[in-house]
Amino acid sequence: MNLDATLQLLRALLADVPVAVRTGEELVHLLAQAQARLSCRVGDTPVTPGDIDALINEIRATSARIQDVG
Amino acid sequence: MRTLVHVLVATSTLVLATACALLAPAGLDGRARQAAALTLETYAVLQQAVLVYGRLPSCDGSKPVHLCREPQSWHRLREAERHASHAIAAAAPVLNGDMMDTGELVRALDAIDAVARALADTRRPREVAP
Repeated sequence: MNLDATLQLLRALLADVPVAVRTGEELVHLLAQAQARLSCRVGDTPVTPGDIDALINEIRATSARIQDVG
Repeated sequence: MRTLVHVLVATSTLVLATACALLAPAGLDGRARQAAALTLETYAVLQQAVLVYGRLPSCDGSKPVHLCREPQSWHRLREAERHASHAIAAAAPVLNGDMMDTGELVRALDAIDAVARALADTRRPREVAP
């Protein structure tokens, strides 16, 4: 299974999105964001150490928000 | 929510499998770094799903809600997420080629997988006591 095939599967699964629409705007936004983010990462664009650092910093920040939820 | 979890778990499982295959060799070449970035992107999306679940009202039975958050599931999910974020941070020097891998990558991937599994568990129906 290569990365393109992974994205193909994601698109196929997104065909069922009307079910998610009923559960709220936030979920739809999340699905769209997931597709956009993952699509951007597939390709020949080189990944630099700075890209990795930026992703890890984002993960740290989101983790702090999750841990703050009661 | 079920569709959301299906999409995220299926996607992250496949991405993790791909990333494992690519990151397993000792050398972290450009393609492996790209796989690592994709895995981190997937985890960032998973975190957003965790946040969505965490913001649901608690399933305390005081008021009827269509979607709610099971306290035990949330506790497990939050702990798994905390562990994964620490493991990812510990793997950062390896991903950037500043340090030899001494198991950091596998630990990070295992921890991410644990978050995906904990998120998948939230969709399982509550067990009813006999």
